[in-house]
Amino acid sequence: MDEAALVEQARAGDLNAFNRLVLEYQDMAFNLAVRMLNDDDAAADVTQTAFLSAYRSLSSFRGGSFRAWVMRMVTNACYDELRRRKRRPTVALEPVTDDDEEIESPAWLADDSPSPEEEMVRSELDAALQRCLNGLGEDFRAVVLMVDVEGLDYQEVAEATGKPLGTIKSRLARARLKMRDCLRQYGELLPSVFRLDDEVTP
Amino acid sequence: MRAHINQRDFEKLSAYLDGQLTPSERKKLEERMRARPELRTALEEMDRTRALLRMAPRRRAPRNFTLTPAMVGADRPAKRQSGGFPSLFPALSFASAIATLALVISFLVSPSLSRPETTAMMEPQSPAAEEGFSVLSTEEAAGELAAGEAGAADRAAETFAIPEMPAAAAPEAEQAPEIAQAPPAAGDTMSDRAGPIITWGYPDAGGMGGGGKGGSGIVVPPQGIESLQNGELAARSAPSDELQAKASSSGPILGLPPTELAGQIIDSSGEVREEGLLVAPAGGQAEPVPQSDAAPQYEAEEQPGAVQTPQAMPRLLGLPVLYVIQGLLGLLALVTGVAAYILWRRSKV
Repeated sequence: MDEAALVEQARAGDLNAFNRLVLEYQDMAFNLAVRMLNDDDAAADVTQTAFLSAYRSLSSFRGGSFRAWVMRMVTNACYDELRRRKRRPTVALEPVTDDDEEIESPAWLADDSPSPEEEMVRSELDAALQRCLNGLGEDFRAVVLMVDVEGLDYQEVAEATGKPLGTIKSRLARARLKMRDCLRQYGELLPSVFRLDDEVTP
Repeated sequence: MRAHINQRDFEKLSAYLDGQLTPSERKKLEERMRARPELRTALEEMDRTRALLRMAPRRRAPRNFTLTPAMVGADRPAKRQSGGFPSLFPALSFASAIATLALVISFLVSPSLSRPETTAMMEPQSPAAEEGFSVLSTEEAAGELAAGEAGAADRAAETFAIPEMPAAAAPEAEQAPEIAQAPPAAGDTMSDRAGPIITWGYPDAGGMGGGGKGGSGIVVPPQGIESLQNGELAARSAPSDELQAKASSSGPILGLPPTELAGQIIDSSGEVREEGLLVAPAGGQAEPVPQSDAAPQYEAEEQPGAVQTPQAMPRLLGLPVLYVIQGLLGLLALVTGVAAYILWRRSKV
C-alpha cells in the first residue's frame, strides 16, 4: 500500500482510500485510546471521532507521518473525553470504601463480571501496567504509550502532540521513571525476568 | 544510589535506550556509566520498564472504524454549526423574536405615549388651544391672573388635560365666544367632575371636558381670553418643556396620577367650581351637563370642522419619533428573519 498515494486520494475526496488508511491504523488508534481512557466503549467512540476528525481536516495535513497525524487526532479526542469526564464525573476514578479509603486491590481490576476475552486480555501484567499508566498525568501517559507501546519515534510523537522534541524526551524519561517506581510494587506479579528490584539488591 | 542521578541523567539514559543521542553524547554517557555503576543500574531498570510496556497486550479494534458516506455527509452540517458564523444562528433567531415583540409592544404603548408628546408639540403653534383644554389653568388665571401661578397651575392641570384629544378644544377657544359658550356647562359640572377625576384618576374625562368648556366658559369675555392668552403665552413658553417631561412621567397616561397632582386637581377644581359659579353662571344654560362630562372624545369627534385638523396633527407630529422607531424595529425583525432563513438554508446544504 502506498500510503502517500492513499492520503492524496483521500484528500481528493476518495472515501475508500481513506478507509484503507483507517483499517491500517484503527488497531493502533483504538489501543492508544483504550490505554489512555481505560474504557473500551469510550475508546471506541473516541477512535471513531478521531477518524472522522482526521477525514474532515485532511486539508490541513501537511505531509510527514500519517501515523503521527492519526495519533494526533486520537490524542486530541482522548483529551476532549478526559476533560468531559472532569467536568461531569460519573464514576470515581479510584474505588473507595464507605470510609472513603482507597481500596488497595480493586475488585474490578481482577474481575468485574468480565467476558472471557476480557479475562484473557486483562492479565496480571496488563492490570498492573494499566494501573500504573492511570497514575501518570495525561501528557506523560500519552508520550510513553506512543513511544513504548505503539512504537512511534520521538519526531512522530512531537508531531502528534504538537510539542518540541525536548519536551517529548523529558516527558518520556519522567514517565518511564514513574512507571518503574509504580511497577516495583507489583514485582511478584511480573515475570521473574522483569522483576525490577533484582538489580537493586546487590 | 539513585538519589545521585538527576533528571538530566535520566533523560540522557532514556534517550540512550532509544538511540536518540548523538554519537558524542552517547560516548560521554557510556564513559560516565563505566565510572558510575548507579547509572548502569538505572539504565537497566529503565530498559526493563520499557520492555514491560512493550509487552503490554495490544488491544485490537472491536470493530471497523471505517467511515460511510452517510457519516461523512451527516457530519458536515454539524461541523459548520460548530464554526463561528453559524453559531450566530440561535442568537439571530432570538433577536428576531425580540424585535417582533418590541414592535408589538411599541404599537400597544404608542397611543398613550404620543398624546403628551403631541400636546407639547402643539403648544407653540396654538396657545389658544391650550387655553381651551387646560381648564384649570384658564380658570386659575381668570381668578388670580398671575402669570407665574397660571403657568404652575397649567402644568398641573395639563398633566391631566393633555391626553385625550387635546386639540379638540383648540378650535373652540379660537373660533368664537359662541363656541366658547358651550363650555360653561363644564364649569357647572366641575363639582361633579371632581369626583370622577380623582376616583378614576383618569385625566381624559376631566381634562377634555373641563378643558374645552370650563376654560372658554369662564372666560366668556373676549378680552379675558386675550389676556389669558398673553399671560399664558408668556408664562407658558418656559414651562412647556417641563410640562412635556412631566406629562410623560406622571400618572395620567396610566390613569393613576401621582398623589400630589391629584391634590392639585382637587384644589384647582375647587377653585374652578367657585369661579364657575361666581363668574360664569351663564355657563349652565349653554349646554347640558352630560356632554361635557361623560364623553369628551365623542364630543370632539362630533365637531368635524374643529376636530379633524387638530386630530391629524398629533399623528403627523408623532410620526418622526415613534413611527420611525416602529419602522426600524420592523426592519430589524425582517433582517434577522431573512438572516435566520439564509443560515437555515446553508445549514441544510
